[in-house]
Amino acid sequence: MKGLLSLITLLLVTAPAFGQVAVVAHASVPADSINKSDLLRMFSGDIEHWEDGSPVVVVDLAEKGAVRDSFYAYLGKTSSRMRSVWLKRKLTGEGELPRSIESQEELIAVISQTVGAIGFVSREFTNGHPEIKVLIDSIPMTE
Amino acid sequence: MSPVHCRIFAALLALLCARAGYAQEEEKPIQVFGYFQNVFQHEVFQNGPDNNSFAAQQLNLFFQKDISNRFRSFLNFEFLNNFSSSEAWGAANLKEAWIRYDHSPAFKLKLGLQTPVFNHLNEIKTRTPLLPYIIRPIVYETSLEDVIRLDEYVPERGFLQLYGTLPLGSRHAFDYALFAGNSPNIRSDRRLGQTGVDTTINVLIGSRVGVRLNDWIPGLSEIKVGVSVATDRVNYFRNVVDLIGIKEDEIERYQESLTMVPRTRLGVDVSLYLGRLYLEAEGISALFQVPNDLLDLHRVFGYATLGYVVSERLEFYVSYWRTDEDALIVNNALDPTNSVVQRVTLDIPTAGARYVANDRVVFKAQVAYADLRRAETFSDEQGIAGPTTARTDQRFTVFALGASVFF
Repeated sequence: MKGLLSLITLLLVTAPAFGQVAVVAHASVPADSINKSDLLRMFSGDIEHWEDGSPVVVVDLAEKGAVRDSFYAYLGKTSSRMRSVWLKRKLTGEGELPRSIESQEELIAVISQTVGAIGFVSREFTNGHPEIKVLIDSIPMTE
Repeated sequence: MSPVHCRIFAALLALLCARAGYAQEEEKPIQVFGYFQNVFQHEVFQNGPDNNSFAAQQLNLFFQKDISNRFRSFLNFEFLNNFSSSEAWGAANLKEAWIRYDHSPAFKLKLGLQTPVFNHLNEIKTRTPLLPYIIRPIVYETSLEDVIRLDEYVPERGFLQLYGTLPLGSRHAFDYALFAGNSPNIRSDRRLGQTGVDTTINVLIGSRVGVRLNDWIPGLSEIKVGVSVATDRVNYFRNVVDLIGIKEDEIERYQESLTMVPRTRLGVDVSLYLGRLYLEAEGISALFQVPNDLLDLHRVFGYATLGYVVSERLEFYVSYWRTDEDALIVNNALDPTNSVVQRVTLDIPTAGARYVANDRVVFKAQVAYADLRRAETFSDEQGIAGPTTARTDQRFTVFALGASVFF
């Protein structure tokens, strides 16, 4: 019984860390957190600059799967709808296409090296990277 | 040149080169990108021979240069219908040449030749990769501009636009755009001097306001609703003079009624995204205030598209388009009373599919059935509309395949 309780406690403590998506940005961005509204406006291209005037560089995860689906579900969009929004902005001269990165490891590396960059990864990938900031760390992962 | 001078000259040269190199590193490079759409169309006419045609329907070439974080310049060149100057095919147009100042999301200013925001589709009408259609909702189909003039329905060109978006609460947004441009009285006749300039003191003034509601109703991920208005004055009298080429005193009765006719174009647009389903619709009404109701130049256009996104790659849609327009037609250059008011109604049900091969290549298929009905009301002895005396109908079906490439 004691062992079972310990196992349940362990699962409760550890499960969220592996079941959540984090929004990350380059360490120099002038924000420590971001609300959903501003996040959607950044990913939709409505907000093109951070508060200090530096350009927002949106980084998208090309790898299909739960992380990507959960992030766009959190924004209330499908990935195809987002792509349509991005392409419209690009072709009307209103914005840039996001940088599309194949893997989460690579995405962390790109964000840590790009001033103004913002993207999303599974929360477990955020540990041990002082060059990035975690702006949101609790977007639930959906299957 | 002494050795000292040589050293100074070399040092200056090195410094200049270093500064130039630094400046080039700081500057963002110019971006060149674009798209083209090639199509194959098979047309089956109810009364007439069928035809097939391949075409490089459209090519757009963009040049974008970010001058600083706040300023961007943008050029858009468009080539239509197998453009060839040597063969006199198609058309080449400078569609946009503007500079934008981006103060904040709520305040952006665009100066220069541009396509203003009017309804949902106007500003993206020429961006073919964005649209599932091969043949676009009819008044937006640039390649058919000889048949239905787009600028009768929507403002095609603006020169000044103030626009932006404001958050409404945590999820929604309010969009606005205010724009100005030339009136449609543009000189085209080279014999009269400089072409392409507005020959009047009138201006086009327009606006669109709209809201985007995200997750407003559970399951309905996005709703976009907007209303648009554009107002200007059209010199129909001059069109008549140009067309029939007679002395003004002979058609004096037209002058009072048809000079600087106030025109107001009203539009409403709606887009709904419900999971994999989407609905996009627009309505446009062009109203003319002709004194004494001498002529009815009113025209309306509407379309509605219902689409289903099967996957990130595949999408199907059905759509219905309708135009209903009245126009003054002068049949005989020597006889101004031989004019007709022509009522043209066009109904087009259409359906199609789009397959996204990758981020850059889209294949499309479409079938459209067009039912064109023309009623001609001949002039009475004063040259103003009388009873309807003739009707002609034309029906045809278009089968189209297309490939759109973004590069």
